[in-house]
Amino acid sequence: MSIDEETLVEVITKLEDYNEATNALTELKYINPVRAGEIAADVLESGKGDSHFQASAFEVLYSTNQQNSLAYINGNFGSVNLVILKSMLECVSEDSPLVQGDSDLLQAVKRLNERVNKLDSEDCEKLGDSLGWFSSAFVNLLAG
Amino acid sequence: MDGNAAVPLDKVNIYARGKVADVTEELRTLQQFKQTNRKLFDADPNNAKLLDKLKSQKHNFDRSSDMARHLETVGLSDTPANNQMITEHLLRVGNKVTAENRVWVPSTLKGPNGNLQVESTWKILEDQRAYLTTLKLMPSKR
Repeated sequence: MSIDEETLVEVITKLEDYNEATNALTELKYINPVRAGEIAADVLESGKGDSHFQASAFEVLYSTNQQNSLAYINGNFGSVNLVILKSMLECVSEDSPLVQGDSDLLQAVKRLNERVNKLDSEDCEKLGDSLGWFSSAFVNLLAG
Repeated sequence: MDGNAAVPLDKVNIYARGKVADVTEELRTLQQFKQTNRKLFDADPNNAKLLDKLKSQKHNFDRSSDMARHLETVGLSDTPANNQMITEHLLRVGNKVTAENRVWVPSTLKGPNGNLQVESTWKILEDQRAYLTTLKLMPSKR
């Protein structure tokens, strides 16, 4: 365990600067991905920091422990705020070519689509082109 | 504190005004490259690192844009006079900060069309002055 790793963890847990904490969590991912994923999951479960920090935590969780991140989507797709939802949509859209061979990813995409279908026009606008990208990435899958 | 708090002007004039770098287009281009050319994307580890960096920058941009919107909503448009007023508000807050209460210090910023909740975090410098490190602006609940 390096000092650098502990310094990063301290920046994340102190949470005195959301931007620095976001950068530290991303950096930790390259040093100790398991620990970064655990911290990211804790940030999401405990609602630490602001919604942008939580969205970045979701992205770290998705890239370090995809199973946990998909479970998080399945458990929270109906209630997460739009900032986190936007990150969820973008993460799965990046992986859209893999969805046919991944039943967990497929289920998460379907759950996200359920949420998307219930959004009002104002919320759709707030998601911007992330929503359009998600819809076009999974157009064949979701049309059926 | 002795009334010598420091507020970096960029925190108000740039960060709180939504003027940090917007990497939205560059980010989406790289995301779509990952989506459509995964083998090529994965062949260079720098692509994943750049993607992470851009995502982090995008969150910072979005956070900055949120604050700018909140300021406009309460009627504090981006003018030198308003920015000076906000800076002076923060200096007053900073002048009361101690090593014990320096994190997420609450205050209220008053605009012509409403109030904003402010939370500021300060570093105590070696000469004991408070230096603003982080700023959060939120719509007032009242």
